Amino acid sequence: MTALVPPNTEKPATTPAASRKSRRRGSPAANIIARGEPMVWLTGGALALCMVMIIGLLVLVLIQGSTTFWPTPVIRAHLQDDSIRQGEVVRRETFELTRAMTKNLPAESQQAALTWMGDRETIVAERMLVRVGNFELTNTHYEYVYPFEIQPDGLTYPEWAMTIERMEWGRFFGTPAQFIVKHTRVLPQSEQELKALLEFFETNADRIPAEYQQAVQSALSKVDEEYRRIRQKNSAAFLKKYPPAEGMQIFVVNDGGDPVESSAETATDAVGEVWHVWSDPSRAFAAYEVYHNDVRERRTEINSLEKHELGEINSRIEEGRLALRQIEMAHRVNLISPIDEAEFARLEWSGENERLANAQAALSQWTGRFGDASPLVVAANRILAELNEDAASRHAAWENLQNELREQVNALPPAASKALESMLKIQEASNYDTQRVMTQIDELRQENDRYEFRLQTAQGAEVALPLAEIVRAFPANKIGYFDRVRIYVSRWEEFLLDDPRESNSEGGVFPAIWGTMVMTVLMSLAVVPFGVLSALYLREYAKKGLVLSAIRISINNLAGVPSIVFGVFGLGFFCYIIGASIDELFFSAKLPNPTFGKGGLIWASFTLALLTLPVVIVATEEALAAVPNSMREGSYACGASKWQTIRRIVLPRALPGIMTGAILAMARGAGEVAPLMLVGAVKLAPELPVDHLYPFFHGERSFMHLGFHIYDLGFQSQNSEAAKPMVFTTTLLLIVMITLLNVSAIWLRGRLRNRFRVSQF
Amino acid sequence: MTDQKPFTGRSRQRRTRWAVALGDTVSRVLITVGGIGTIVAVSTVFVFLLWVVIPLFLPAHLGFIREVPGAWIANNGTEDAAGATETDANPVLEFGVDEFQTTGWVLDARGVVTSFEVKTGQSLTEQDLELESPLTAVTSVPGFSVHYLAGEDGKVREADFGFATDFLPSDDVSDEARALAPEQMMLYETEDDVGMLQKTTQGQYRFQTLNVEVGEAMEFFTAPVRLLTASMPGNELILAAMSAEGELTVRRHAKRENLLTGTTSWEESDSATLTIEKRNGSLPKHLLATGAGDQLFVIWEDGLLRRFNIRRLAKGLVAAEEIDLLPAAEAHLSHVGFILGQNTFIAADTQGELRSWFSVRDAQAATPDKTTLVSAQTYPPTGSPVTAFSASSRSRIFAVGSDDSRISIYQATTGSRLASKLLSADSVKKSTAPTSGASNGEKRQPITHLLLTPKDDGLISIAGDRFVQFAFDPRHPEATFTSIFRPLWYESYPEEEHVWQSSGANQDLEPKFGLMPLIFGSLKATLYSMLIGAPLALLAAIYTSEFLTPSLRVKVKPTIELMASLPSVVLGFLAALVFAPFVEEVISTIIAGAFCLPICMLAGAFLWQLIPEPWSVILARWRLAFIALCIPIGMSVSTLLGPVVDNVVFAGDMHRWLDGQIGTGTGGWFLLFLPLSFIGMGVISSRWINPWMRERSHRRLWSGKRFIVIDGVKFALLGVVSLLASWLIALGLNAFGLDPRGIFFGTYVQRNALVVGFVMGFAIIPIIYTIADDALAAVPEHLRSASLGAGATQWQTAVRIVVPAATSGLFSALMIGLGRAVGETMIVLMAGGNTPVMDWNVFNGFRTLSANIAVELPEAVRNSTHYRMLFLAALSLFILTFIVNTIAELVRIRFRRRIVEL
Repeated sequence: MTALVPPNTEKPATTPAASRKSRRRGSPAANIIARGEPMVWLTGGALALCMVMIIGLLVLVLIQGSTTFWPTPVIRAHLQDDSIRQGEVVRRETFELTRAMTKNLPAESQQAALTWMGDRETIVAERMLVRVGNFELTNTHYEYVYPFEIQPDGLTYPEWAMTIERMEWGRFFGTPAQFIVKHTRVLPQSEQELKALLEFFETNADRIPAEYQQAVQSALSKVDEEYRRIRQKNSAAFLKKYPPAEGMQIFVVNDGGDPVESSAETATDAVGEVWHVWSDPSRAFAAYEVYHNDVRERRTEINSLEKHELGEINSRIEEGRLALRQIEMAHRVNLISPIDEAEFARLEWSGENERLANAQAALSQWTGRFGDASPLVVAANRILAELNEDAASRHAAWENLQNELREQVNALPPAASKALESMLKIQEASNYDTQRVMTQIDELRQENDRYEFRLQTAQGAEVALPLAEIVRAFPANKIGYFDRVRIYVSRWEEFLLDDPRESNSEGGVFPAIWGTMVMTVLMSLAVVPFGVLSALYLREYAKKGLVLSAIRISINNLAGVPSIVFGVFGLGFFCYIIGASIDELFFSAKLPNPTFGKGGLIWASFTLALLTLPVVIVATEEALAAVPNSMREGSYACGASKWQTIRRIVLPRALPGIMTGAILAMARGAGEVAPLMLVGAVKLAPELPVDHLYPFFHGERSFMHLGFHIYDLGFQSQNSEAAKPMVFTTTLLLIVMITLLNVSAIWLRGRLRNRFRVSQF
Repeated sequence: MTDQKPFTGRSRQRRTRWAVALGDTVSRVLITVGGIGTIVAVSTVFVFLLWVVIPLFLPAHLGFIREVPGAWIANNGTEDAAGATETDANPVLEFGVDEFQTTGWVLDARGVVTSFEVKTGQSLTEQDLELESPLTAVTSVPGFSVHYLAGEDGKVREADFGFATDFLPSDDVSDEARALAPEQMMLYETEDDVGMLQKTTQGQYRFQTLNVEVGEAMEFFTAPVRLLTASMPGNELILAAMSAEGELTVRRHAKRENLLTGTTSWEESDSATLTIEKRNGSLPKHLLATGAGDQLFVIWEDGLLRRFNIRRLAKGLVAAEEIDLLPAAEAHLSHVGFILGQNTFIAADTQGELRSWFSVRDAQAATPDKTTLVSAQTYPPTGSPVTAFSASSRSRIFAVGSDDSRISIYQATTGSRLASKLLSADSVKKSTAPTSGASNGEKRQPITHLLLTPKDDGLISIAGDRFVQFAFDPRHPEATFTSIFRPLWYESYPEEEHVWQSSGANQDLEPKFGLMPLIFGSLKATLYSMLIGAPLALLAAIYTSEFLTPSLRVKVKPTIELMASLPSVVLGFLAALVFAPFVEEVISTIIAGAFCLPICMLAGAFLWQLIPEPWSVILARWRLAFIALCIPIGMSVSTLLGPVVDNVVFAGDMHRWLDGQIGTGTGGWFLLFLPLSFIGMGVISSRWINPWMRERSHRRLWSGKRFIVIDGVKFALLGVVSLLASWLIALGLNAFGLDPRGIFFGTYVQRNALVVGFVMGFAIIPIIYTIADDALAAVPEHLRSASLGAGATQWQTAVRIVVPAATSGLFSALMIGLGRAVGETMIVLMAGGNTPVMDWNVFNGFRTLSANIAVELPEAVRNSTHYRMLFLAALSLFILTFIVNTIAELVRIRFRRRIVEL
């Protein structure tokens, strides 16, 4: 095989005076036909084609996958009908336009197309697919731009065109119009108190006793006067704090008014907010860059509060509810709906109670200020007493409901009342916690609402984007190479570490990566021990014979059974039989909602473990076979027992082979999708299968999977054009993952082969 | 020996330590148990699939529960015998039960409804509907609880026989009821009602009462109504009635909803009348209106059916078609009744023959509305006259009772008899009144009434004054061996067909479980992908093992193996979103490329031969690169040729050509025969031309250079000749009027077999390639050395020594590739179009077994017929691949044994 030169190198048969024998051998025809060059070229062509196909495919995925995140410039096309398309060019494609086809075009562009074509019958040209974004305004993500539609010199790259990636509605393209920072005036205590007093009487105007009406009104007018005086003083002081600066305008928002530019004339006595406004694009963008990070951080904090803290609270409530449900089922009583009723009553009461407490606190201050005898204080006391009564009646209603529940439970075994008490406690605690978290969230939200980025679209509309909704914004035509690299890297970072958004077509794939990893690891934990056990049995213990070869054939066969069949088995056996039984035994409280009786992480792992078992068995067997018998015999000769030999001699040498098998199994498992569709991979799983909540590992949960993600995005997505870039990057990621696993397996196998050379077929 | 002192001086323990022995035993047991257990566990896959599938083929169960004397039947019979029809002593006109089979009711000719407890036969309530005259005809609308009652006064009334279900508060029920065990029931009386009380498993008290509401009378005739039929298509009600004088009236009503009271009423919107003449002195015996409200069947006892199209009543009633339901003249029709959906009716005759009929659209039909009635199915006969009929309200099952007190249950579509049972021997013995219908003298009572319970879980029959209840479990009547693998005549289909349609828009649409379209899809996908993948993989393997330098080989092989690890979802996504649109654009270029690439390579080989020997020896190292160079060249040539192909073969527009709008079949035949004629020319060349040339060369007529040139010219000439030959054949076939469109080609669908075949080629090439290459490499080196030493060229060695020696290995490689292609899921799911059609068209989609499972299983209800059918699909895949793989494995084992011997 090393012979590159055809071995029958004979003399060129050109000498006419050769013997008959040598002439026969040297005949050029025999020579040339025997070499079969055309056929060799055909076989070689097949090989070359295969190579081109595989390399072409990988290159396609690599290029498409890796260029997706590269920031591209924003183009602005001014069209014949005076409309404007602004956005990123997704791709340019050639198209053929014939005279007949122009009839299908919209009326405005028909004429343009015809003039553009001149007297040619057909024309091949390049059109652009432009991602125009601004979905909430345009109702489309993409638009084709034909060369004949564009006005002469209508194609520009506006200097300040920004590409903005948002949490919702996809991309936005526009130029910065204004960046606004709002400063709200914090009311000093004296002003606050007076305001509260005025408001209290305003809301409870109908409760003021008739005999006090007059007195209260006159007292209030005095209070009002004082309030205005203080407010004016404070407003002036507040305005002074925000002097105008270079390139920045100052707007003032008076209480309940529209913002007006700050000047001597507009200064009023009731300033609510002061706005710092940067209208110059470069300054606005600079201001955006200053504030954006903080805002995003707060946004992340809000998200994590909502997801973790509130999630934890909900899971606690759910637990208590389940305990109650169990009792409900065991004793055929009705607990959960009354407890919900009681909770509702409590919420009503606590709302009332809070308002009351606030008023009470205020009252004590007024008392200090106006004295006990002031008609204001007297009237307020009267009103409060009334309010108190309301609250008390609500409280009583709640207590009643609770007591009824307790009575009902008292008839049951003590465990029931314990569960009820704990549920009540949980509700109370979680209420407090919810309150706390919600306050935190509200504070963060309010802080974020201070910033506003206003942009102008190409069509001239001005849109205010909340800063927290902006993931990333950059002037696409201005930034330099390094900024592009920075954005590229940050987009990859987002892709790898974030949750998906926009029905998976934007954001990251972290849950899918995590799901794939956890599933694969769990699968290999299940498959490797059993695979190794079987291989050990087959290779070391079983007696050679017909049965053994039958088993071996079956195992090789199983490797060829379609993966979907394992999926069917997994669904029917693991989910519907084993899972359902587990549900009935341990999670009957949740029925008819299945816990384990549906697709989930462990069932997916087990199914894939079955699927990859032959891979591990075959690889391990190969590795065991590769250990020379002389080593076993040597070990026996030294007096070692069979198990000692296996453990000390055979297994260590077979270890690389076993690991190869395990890695190959992982590679196969990570890339398999068909069975997962049946046993637990889902489009979107907000909860990770392994997280920080007790018991940390949730095998029953559905999970996201990279392969399924590709299927879902590429096949089931509403907007497949928008999903395409994402599919390519996900594909690239999956291929890289699997290739790494495979390459490491091949490398290991190579090392093993070099150590113990044995024929492979 | 044992007492010899060891030379080290230390005494050595000669016995195995217990820990070691224990460890050994434990490990042996563990490994054996674990190993065998694992293998057993894996084999449970098969067992489990089988276990789920088997119930599909279990026969339906019909079990006798009890027989009760229906006292009220007898009573009514004696009291009212004079008022009822003369021939029938039993005045029961209609009866029904609730869905839990607790309470039943009968309606007699006086208009009295008697409800009774099913278990004991004890009557509970008696309600007189207070109709002014005795009832003569009753009809119901399947799927609704309303019935229409027609009387001697010529009026029709709507009557709703609903069961009201009430949950009684546990405080209110009597102590006796409290003592009930869950699921147990009792007769219970409240202040104003009598009904059945059942304690549910949740501990609630479910109280069921019969609730009959009679609507206003609609006047049809002055004479008694003889026949009546009703149907409710959408928001309409169609009533057709025939009077004793032969007057036929059809009325269409629209639903009116009273917004204030919330009640609905029917308002007549259209009507038509016709007088039907007597035939052989008799008026029609049956009247049927279809569920879609478009047809009315008037049927005489001798089997004549007159079909009216009643879609537009304003045009009057004109018979659209006349058909004889009983071509065999002997028998008379005894029962005619619709099954679910009111499209198919079953005609039963006095000889016990049963046939199903429905109307189909037929453009060739002679009828004015291009519709004709066809008899789709003949059922196993009952053997004696049919006396009772009942159709299920939830499936296509119907039951008939016959004169010899036999009950037979059939599935309408598959035509199979699900169960057949004589009423228990007791009931036969106890029967007192000898019946007029019994012809064979036995004391068997005819079954006068039959009812399949609303949930299809029971059957109640009335024979004489007795009343027999059966438990019925149809299991999976839609799935029989015939219905799965043979074409069936489904309702409204023009002919027998293989159809897979697991779920329809509504319940009336029957599920069609023909697996053949899916099996066909799997085979189609496999065929096309093997056509593309197998030659490429085998040829590539031959080149790799025989002609490639070792240094290149270690790089090439892992690269192609890497292809094997590409997840199929990636291939599927690329196929569906990248290749499918691309292929659609450049399809003619691809077709040109399929011929251009090999020709380019052959041309390259001829050019290569022209290189002087010393040069070619040096260049041989880079031969693969030169071969690879042919690919871009071939592709650019085919890009140039693409429009030519389009114009010549496809008459300028491929899509329209494929649709059959333009052009002739010549181009298609030309394409089909082109590969064949190339192969034929190759054979001719090697058989006759090459020996002739060799002879000329031997005689030194041609020098080496000249021979090469002549060889090249020969190749070019053969190419032209084969083009001409296939064009001629194509012309000839076209002249005969044959067109490949509709057979091998057809309408272009973007996701089609070509794309799938091409991409699935990707999936199977590496598998076939690796195993084939291993097999070739396993051929002992000494065989090669001997062949080369004897003067054979590398090509000769490869073709005559190595490949024959490795044939079985190559075969097993192909089989394993085949096994993979059959079960591949993601690619066909994403790129195969997923339409279950049986069509060889390369440019059409298909649905494979595996894709079907992936699509439908998540939605299938556990343990339903659909679910089990999908398991059957999985089982078939399992068995199919198991067989293929076992053959491959056995061949491979033989090969391994043989190759060692060589």
